[in-house]
Amino acid sequence: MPPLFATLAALAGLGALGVMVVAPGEEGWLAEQGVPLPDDVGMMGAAAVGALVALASFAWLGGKLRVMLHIRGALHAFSGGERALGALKVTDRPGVARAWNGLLEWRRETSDVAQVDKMLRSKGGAAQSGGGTGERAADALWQGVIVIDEQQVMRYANGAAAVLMRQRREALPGVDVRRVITDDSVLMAIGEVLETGSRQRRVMDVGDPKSSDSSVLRYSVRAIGATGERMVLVVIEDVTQQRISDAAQHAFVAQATHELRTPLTNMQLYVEQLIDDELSPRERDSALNVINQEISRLDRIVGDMLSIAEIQAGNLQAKSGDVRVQPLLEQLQIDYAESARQKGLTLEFDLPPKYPSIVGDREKLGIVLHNLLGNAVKYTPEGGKITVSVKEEGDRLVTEVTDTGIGISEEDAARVFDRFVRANDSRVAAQTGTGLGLALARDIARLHSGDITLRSEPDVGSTFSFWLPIGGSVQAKAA
Amino acid sequence: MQVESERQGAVTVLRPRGPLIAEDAEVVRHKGGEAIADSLGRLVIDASAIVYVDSKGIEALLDLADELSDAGQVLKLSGTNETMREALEITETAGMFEHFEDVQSAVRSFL
Repeated sequence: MPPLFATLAALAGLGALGVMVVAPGEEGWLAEQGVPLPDDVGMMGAAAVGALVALASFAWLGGKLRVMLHIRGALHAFSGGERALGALKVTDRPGVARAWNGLLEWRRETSDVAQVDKMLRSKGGAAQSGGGTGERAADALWQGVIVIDEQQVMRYANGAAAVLMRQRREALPGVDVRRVITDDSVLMAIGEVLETGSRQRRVMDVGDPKSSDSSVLRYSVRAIGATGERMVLVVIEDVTQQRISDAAQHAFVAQATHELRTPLTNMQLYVEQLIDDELSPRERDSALNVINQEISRLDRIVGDMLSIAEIQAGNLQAKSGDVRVQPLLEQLQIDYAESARQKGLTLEFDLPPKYPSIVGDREKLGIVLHNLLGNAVKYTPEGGKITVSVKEEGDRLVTEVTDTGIGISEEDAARVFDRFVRANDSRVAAQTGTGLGLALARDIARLHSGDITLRSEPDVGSTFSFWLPIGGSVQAKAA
Repeated sequence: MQVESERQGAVTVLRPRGPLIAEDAEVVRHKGGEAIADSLGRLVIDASAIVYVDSKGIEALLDLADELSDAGQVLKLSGTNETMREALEITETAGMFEHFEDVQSAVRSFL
């Protein structure tokens, strides 16, 4: 039996026995209800008193029961999803109803405190570790994000910001931004935005003074925050690769124009001579020979450019077929004999009596050999020596082009296979070139599952080793 | 293990040669860590010459991926062969990396 009904039954029983039961503090209420207390009962019969007490007790308990039923209804509504505390209140009455309503009011107040706390944490305390959804989202960005308050103190910094500013993340919140960002233009922009509250984005590219690779960071500064609370959002992007790519493309256009113009000018001169001047048969042959060479040179330049374009588009592909290496090398010998002789270079070929089978693209492998030997002829001073040797090393066929040329510094050697890169040497700048040849050669080598490596010493010479797997296969695309 | 390092623009490309196992994995992890610090996370692992990988090797790659993750970046792997791809898939770690068919595509993704 529920306790409430047990109590009711007990009270009714006591009433029937004529026992006056008065709950502490209820004397006044009984008086108000007109219930006679024991002292005033006088001569009334015990049976009548008992009946009256039972009646009053029932009335009193009935009121309590109604409140309990209302609370029960409210609990049902809560379990049904009702969360509006106002809807869960019961009619205000002393006792249980008031206690219930007080409990609901206390719950509302504590809920508001939690909301305020959450709001404060999201505004100012985001620097705390752990963080909410917004902070986790900001941490997934590769752009650095920092929030700076009116005192120019960092209120928030994501992981990328710490890396880009070369700081420990946990050390950033609460730090004056001027201790971390040293560039005047960025600090000035932050100061101005804080002062004016301008929502206009200010963007500036700044060299990273701490980097060894001339990194460039792009800072975007703009105001955020509600009225009366001015803050600044700074977004930092690493744009180094974009900058290098842009510069290389510009250099390429300039260099390619020069490269194409040189053979065209030569051809134009010789054609004019052939048309206008009376040349001896020997002179005529010589002029035609030069024109022929320049046409081949143009063809190679255009071919290189197309191949580079293919690589950039991710479309460089090689045919797969049996390549006879011997004819390739013999053609190379013929192609460069004249230019080496003209420059007073000794050109030697150290070739094996027989060659293993190579699978690949004959034309593209020819480009590699041309670029390596062409560079050796170009960068070896008069009287120098160039040796082309071919040998089997295990499962590889290795072709080495060794020269006694100007050599390459360690610094340049690290970049010499990059596209559009030319060694930082005035003797290199004096020669025409796009900075594409070695990049293309290596890409082709790797397309054939091989590679090219370099050993070099400035003013002594260089050796480029080009190896291919014997009987190897061609990859789907350039690596 | 031989680990070639080269720059392609502002991107460091590490090219380990041979199996990525045992103590060799530590070499890759160390060199990768240095590259991340030097080039603000612009790192590509050219895996085309990695023959196969063991748990230590995967662990080294995951360490590098975690390091980059702090900067909102993902470790880029290029040219992984079938054996390595399978190892990453079996260990359910393939999703921790960005995969590219070749180095050039990986480098271009920094643009």
